[in-house]
Amino acid sequence: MLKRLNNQEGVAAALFLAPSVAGFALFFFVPFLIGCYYSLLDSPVDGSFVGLRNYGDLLRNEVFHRAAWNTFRFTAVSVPLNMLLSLGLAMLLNRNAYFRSWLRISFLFPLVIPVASVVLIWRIVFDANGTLNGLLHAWGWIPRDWMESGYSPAVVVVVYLWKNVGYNMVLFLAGLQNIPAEYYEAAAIDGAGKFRQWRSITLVYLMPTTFFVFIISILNSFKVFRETYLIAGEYPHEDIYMMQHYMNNMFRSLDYQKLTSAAFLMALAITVLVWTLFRAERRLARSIGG
Amino acid sequence: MKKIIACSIALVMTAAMLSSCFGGGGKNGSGATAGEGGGTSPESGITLTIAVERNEGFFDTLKQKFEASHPGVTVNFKEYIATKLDKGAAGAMKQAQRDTEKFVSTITTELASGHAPDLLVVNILPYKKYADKHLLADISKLMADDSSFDSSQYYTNIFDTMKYKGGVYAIPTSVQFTNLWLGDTSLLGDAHIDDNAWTWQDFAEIAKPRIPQGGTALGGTPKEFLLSTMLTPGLEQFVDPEKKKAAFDSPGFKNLLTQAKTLLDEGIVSESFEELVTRGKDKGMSLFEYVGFRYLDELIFDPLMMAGGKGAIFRAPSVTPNGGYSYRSNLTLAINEKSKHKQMAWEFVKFVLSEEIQGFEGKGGMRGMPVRKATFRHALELFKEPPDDLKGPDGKPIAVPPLTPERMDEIESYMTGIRTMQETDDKIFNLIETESASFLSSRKSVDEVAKSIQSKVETYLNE
Repeated sequence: MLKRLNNQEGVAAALFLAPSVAGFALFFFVPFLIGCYYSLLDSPVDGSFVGLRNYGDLLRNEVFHRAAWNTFRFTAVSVPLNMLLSLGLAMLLNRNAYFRSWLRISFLFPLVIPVASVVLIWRIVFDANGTLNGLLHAWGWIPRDWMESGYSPAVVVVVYLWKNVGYNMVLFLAGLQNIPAEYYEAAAIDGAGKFRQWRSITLVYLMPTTFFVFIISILNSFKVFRETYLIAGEYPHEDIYMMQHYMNNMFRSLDYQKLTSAAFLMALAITVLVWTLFRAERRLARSIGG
Repeated sequence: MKKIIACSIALVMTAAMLSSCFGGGGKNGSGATAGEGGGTSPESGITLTIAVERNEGFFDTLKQKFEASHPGVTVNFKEYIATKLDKGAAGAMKQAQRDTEKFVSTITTELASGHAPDLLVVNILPYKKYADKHLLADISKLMADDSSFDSSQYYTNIFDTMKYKGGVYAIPTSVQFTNLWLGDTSLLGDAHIDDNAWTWQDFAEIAKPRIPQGGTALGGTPKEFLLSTMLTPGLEQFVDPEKKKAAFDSPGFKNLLTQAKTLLDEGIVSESFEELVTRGKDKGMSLFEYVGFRYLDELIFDPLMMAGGKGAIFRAPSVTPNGGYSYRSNLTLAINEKSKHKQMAWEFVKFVLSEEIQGFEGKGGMRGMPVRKATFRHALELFKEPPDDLKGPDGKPIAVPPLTPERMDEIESYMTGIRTMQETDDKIFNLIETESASFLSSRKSVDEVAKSIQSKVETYLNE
């Protein structure tokens, strides 16, 4: 009886899942596998099997090195910054601040404004003859061409933060509000100071949220390409030439071998990273007894 | 009006631009019937598809003639950009660029998926990148294997300009010169110009004291294309597409950038020329004029029409002294390596190179001079009898001196002196133009700009 019910539930679940599984397979998984297959051929048309040669070529390619390094560096810098900032903001707004609800909404604006229109503003701000340089000049500083110098990665980080801090802040806020106030009261009665409360209650109970925010931030950091591309074009300054520039240009210049192998390598790297993070989270959760 | 002129000049000038004849045929070849043929010849039922950006009237003629001489074969010109370009409209230049981009990306995708047409018109396509991927047939091999094709009948120096990685992956079928100027000798006076060897420095020195009041040293070149002009030919000095190396941070290139800036800053090359043209006051106002000589009669008569017969043809100054002439072909053909009808595609190339088509120059025909020696010479012979109805720009009749054998040799020497084809991959020119703008307007130092160009071009080459 119980088993039959389970079976029925299983069928129902499968039926409900089918559309989304089919969509995922059709638009993501199957093309990905086909791409993987093509990365082992020497030509997309009548190609012959060459094993890992494309990967070898790719790993020897200097431009690919630069793209990979820039992407890694950007993620390594921007994600921690993003998390610190959004956590800070969330804690500030979690108190009874003046205009609190308006401030919260305003931090979400970057998410709803279409990228293309925002990019126009960024371009005006960071152009060689732009607003920022105008201000610098007025203050007697030396203007520089922000997007075409060693400062360009900083600009990209700023744009990324502007775009993503609000979203993470909302996630953190939700996490903060889920921590029962009694815990703090109990801790206060036991004589714990503000910092101790923050370290032992806030941080600990925020761990699942933090983990989620971390993964989302990493994934979003790969999406910054769109803004970079729209601001600086397909051949930006060499310090902000990202993995996606490489892949985009490979696509345009017909190099499907490099494109598919680069895509596969990147997917592999992200999978390994996320898998490691999940394991770390599980271990952490066990150690704090959550 | 100004916009129209600016646009049309710009169109001629850029490295990989649209064919300048938009007015040409409007009929869409892709809609042509794919008749399945009678089945009398072994070639029956073959449909040869040719990729073109925009259709031209000449293509209809080509189709008819080829089908007539090859029964059972259907030729289908597949037009990729169907919209007409309104040259006068605002943003026509941008539109042209977008169309070209779309054309390039569509062809690229089709080639990669194996569904590209049998033949491609690669005037504005990055055919070297396709050859890198082994997607184009080596035409030099097809030529060598075909005993009925005698390459010595052609100006082989022109075919040699296409050599790439030990093969020839695209064949120019006509010639339009890209580094010939018309000079006004009445203004140049006693200037000594060795146009085979002169540099841009020489040009600046010669031109500066002789520029007419309110005029310019070089007409017909918009400011933003000056560097492209200076690098045609000459780009190959700084880029090696085979070895994937660039040398834009070299002193030679920095020098060129500085020279370009000097030319603009000192007003030697100015934008005012197009305004003069608009006001109809351009005559006698420029020392040199950029002319994309396309037809034989232009080579013969244009010098006579300038400044009361005081015009002369000069090779543009260059970073490569004695580097010969450079040209572009308004019909450069490449064969898809994966085509099922490779042999027939080669037949078509041969047909375009044949006497019948090569001699079909002028309105509704080839947009350029023939690459076939006998055809060129024959056309030249026809001008031996000077026409008596030639009129100058002012409407006055011009006396045409007879064409001497020496002058004929001189004109043919332009053909035999061709050494480089204008780069068809405009990406590099685009990068140079965009990056150098901030130096030309004094916002950045020459070192910064050269470094930036070098980094971007090397990225492009090595990706």
